[in-house]
Amino acid sequence: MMNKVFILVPIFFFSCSWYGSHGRIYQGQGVSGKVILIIHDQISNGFGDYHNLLVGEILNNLDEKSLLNIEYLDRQFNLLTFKRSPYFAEYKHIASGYLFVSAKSPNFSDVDLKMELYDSNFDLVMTAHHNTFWGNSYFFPPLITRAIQDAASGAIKVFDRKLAKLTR
Amino acid sequence: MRGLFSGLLLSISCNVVTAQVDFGSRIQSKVDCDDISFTALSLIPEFYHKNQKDSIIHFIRYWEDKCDKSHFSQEVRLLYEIERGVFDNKEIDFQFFRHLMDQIDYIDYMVFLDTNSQVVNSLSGVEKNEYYLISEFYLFTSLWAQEILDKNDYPACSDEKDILLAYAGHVEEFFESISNNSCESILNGFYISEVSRLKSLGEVEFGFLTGVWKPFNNAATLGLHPIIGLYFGTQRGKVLFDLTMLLRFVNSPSTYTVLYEDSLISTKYFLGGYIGADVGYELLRTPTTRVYMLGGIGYDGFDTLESDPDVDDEPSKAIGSLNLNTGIGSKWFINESMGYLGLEVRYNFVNYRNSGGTDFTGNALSVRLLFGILGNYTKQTGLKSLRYR
Repeated sequence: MMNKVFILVPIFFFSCSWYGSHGRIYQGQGVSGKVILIIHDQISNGFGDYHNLLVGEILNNLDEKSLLNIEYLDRQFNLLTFKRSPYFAEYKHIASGYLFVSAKSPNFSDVDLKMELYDSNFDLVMTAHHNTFWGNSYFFPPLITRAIQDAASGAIKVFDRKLAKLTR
Repeated sequence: MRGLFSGLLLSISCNVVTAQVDFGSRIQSKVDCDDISFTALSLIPEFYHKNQKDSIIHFIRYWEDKCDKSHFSQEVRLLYEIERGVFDNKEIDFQFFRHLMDQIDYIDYMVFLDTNSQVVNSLSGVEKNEYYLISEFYLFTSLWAQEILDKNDYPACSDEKDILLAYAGHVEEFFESISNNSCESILNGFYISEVSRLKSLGEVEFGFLTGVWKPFNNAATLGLHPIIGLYFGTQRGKVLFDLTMLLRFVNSPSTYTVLYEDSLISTKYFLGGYIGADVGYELLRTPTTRVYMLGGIGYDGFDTLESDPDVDDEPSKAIGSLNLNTGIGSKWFINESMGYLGLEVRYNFVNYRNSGGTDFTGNALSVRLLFGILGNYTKQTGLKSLRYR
């Protein structure tokens, strides 16, 4: 009985931590050149300090790790709406790829952050995902500000790891 | 004397300057954003009626400069830009889409207040003044939007037209236009994304059930039994997953025998139950009805001898079996709310083994009547506010 517990408990924790923070490479070819970063914030719908915090954390973490040649577009789109916006026509000649980041918080405490890197033809290159509910341990339900910071750093860590694998 | 005169003049001038600075700061400290906003709400319609539209934009710039962007200032600025033909589609992003949804919420709220005078009457004096001011402001912006719509012949599927429809208060027409999938406008893109996001949200379910359980063949000896129970679970997409616990009671109509410690005991006692995982696949959905194909797996059993749990060595015997069940069920939602009444018919494959006693081979049919709640408030209200059917 105890043996089973010793096996099952680590499997359980490993599953939680995998679900909390994971990524996937979809194609072997990376993106070189300018990557347009577009953040779709569904935590505060792009309003107020939480949005500024989210943007700041993502930009700082990307900058710290010197990942990709990022240009941030301060507008909120997802893939579908970006392709319909006038910005697409503006960027399609200079962009080698697009990095879409979407963040949501169903309970305004935990944050689920997803990063999707597309090439210039909008083919998915890789994804990175971090969910603070599964991926972080908090003694008390975290403040949204803390969860935003953890989600951004967690997702970018996975993104960095996958990107390194891709460029290896 | 001249020096004294010059000194006096300098001193007076300095005092005047100081007094002016103080006067200015006093004025500034008294005018806050609320004052500017209240003034704007009454002054801007006045500018419009006097056809002083340049004054409107100057005031909007001052307003946004002093108090940052607000819903009202954005609305007026956009109307001004659309009328002048200088509106840039680059302004439309998710935040902008939310702004239009807020506009629809405001309109719905205004309609609610207009049709429920008792709510308005219950407002305090200040709240009532705010309500009248905002409702007059909406009347002005809707008239302005309508005027622009009348003057221009916007093509179908144009974002400008959709914005004006929202501002003019043509809510149904606005949603009809942005939900039209043949329009590949930016607003249509946000509408599709928002609907699919809300639709992907899971729903939570819980409820009580009652019904009957009727075994067949040799198991028919056990007779028909009423059931009560409870269940909880979740639905994601078309798949419903529940954990169900139920109890079957009332003694058997005929006597049956069980082997207990090498002796056969005749009994009519019956207290059964089921605990299992039930799944359902949604076959049909209308706003008020859902039909499911059902399946389930669980432990099914019953006590054959009545025993007092407080007394040691009382004879007790339970007969159990794996229960695999399949069937069909439907849920009827009450007034398109989350509460529903449901009916399920399941065929249960069971194999009760009663070694040495009455043969209970045979399966059973169960009919369940459900009283439950299934839904997700965010999903329900979100889709409703998007007029999604």
